[in-house]
Amino acid sequence: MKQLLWAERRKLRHSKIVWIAVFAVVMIAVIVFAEGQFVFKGSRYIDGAGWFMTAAQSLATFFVLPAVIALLGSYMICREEQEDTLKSLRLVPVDEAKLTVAKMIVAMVFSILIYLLLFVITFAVEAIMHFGTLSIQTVWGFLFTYFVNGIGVFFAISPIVALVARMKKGYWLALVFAEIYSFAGLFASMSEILKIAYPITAVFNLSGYYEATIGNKAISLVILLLCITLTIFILSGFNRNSKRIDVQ
Amino acid sequence: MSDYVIETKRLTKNYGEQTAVNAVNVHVEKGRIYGLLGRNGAGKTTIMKMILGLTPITSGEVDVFGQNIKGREKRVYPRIGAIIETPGFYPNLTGTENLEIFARLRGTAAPNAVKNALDIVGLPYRDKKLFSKYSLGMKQRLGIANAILHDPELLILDEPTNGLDPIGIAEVRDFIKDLSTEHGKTILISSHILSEIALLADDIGIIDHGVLLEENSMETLKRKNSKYILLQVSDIPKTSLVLERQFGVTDYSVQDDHSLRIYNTSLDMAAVNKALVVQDVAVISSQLCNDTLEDYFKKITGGEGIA
Ligand SMILES: Nc1ncnc2c1ncn2[C@@H]1O[C@H](COP(=O)(O)OP(=O)(O)OP(=O)(O)O)[C@@H](O)[C@H]1O
Ligand SMILES: [Mg+2]
Repeated sequence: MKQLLWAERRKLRHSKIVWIAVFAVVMIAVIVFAEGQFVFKGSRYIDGAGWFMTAAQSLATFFVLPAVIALLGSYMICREEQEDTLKSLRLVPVDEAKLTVAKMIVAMVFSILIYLLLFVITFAVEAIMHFGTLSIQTVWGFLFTYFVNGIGVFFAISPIVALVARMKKGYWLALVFAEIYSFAGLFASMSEILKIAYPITAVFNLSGYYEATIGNKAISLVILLLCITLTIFILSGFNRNSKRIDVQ
Repeated sequence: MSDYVIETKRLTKNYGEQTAVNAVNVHVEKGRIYGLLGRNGAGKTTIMKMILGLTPITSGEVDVFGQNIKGREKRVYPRIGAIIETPGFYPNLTGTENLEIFARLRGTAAPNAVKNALDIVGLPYRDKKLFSKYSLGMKQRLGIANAILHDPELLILDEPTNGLDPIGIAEVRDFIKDLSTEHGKTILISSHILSEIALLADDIGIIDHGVLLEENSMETLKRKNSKYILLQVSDIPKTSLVLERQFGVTDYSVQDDHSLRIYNTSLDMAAVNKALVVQDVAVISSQLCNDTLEDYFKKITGGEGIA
């Protein structure tokens, strides 16, 4: 397993998708910063301590990062077949179930890292602008939010990754599906009930961006665990099938 | 116990209605180079895939190292190096990085295995060039490097010289030969180029439309197709007698009821003719023939020949 994880990380070297993700994060920060220049009740949004960090993770989660993470996840799985490397891996031999698990783990770590990168950028800006007013506690709170967002978003989009991997129609589909899926979260957030149950907004319940009771948090957690269960279910079917399908 | 590294028994593969491989019995002996020769679509790749367990077998059996491979992949694959069709690598990585991944996944112990393998196939170590920028020949070389990376006993190479230029082909041929003679590796190689196989293989299997038409050692084949005198006579038994008793010829073969081949081409045919006439044997014709392997393949593949 250690070797597989190492290999998965290695395979992402010089990879465009990783750079797309980093670029996306920087763009989010820039856009939210620009948004922050609007004046509301006599002061700019960005002048409120913590506003930038709050707005950035919310915008990122509704519009950008789930799609990027889903894209990377399904790219990692689909590429082995598209680039015909699965054949070479089978001859090593590599256990395909373990291979998929390794890929999912790397995708989750990537998800966390990409949120942490956003955290680092937004924190740096906040630290420069509001050094005095930002308490350690607030910062820790945000770090927690970003971290949980990273894990939670991965859980929420994982069924899409699995589904796209199984469809074998190209990993770009994951980007499209995840984009629609996360965008729909905006509408889900308008309903008190959907807000708890919809996977994307369920992440916010857990990460502390939304105020939520313990009960609601528990429901959200169950929803996300169901997501990952569904993923495992789809992927195990996929692995069983692909054993029977010829390597071209 | 047979000394076959690979043995197939009535190996068959159907793709839907089509029978791609039909009851093939291949015998690859230890330490030898076995050339699988056949035209495009003959079924070479399919046979290799079935041997390696990459595609399900419709019927028949495959033994590798004397046993069925199924369920023993973990122990058998490390002893095999293979390229099947075009080698699959990660396009966003360099050749060295690609090999490092496979070396690590295989748990290859030798620290400079990657460098050695690249040296052998003539690719630079730690080069900056990404696999996606490789030429066809370089890709093929990297595939071979990956196949020999873990120093396997058995190599299964599906058209390894595909896309190489003539000098490259000669290089690859030399080191494949070297792997066999110097390092005692067993090699199963496929090609649609007769001359390629003729220069390389110790044994040869000719496959056409999924059927193994002939399996023989190269020596036998070459002999079959070297120079000979084709003698057409009215009575074969009498002729044999004359040849053996009066001329001491043993190196001949009977083709059918009226013709035989004499491989000793320096025989005095005038004297033979005279002796036969004395024995009341009518000599219909006597000619010196020079069949090439090429002609032979044309004949056994039913006239279509081979590139
Ligand atoms: N996955 C597949 N599905 C259906 N038919 C296939 C498949 N793979 C191979 N075939 C058919 O099986 C036959 C043998 O193919 P194979 O690839 O083994 O030939 P080959 O001898 O390797 O040819 P080449 O010299 O072109 O590589 C062909 O008629 C081919 O169309
Ligand atoms: Mg082929």
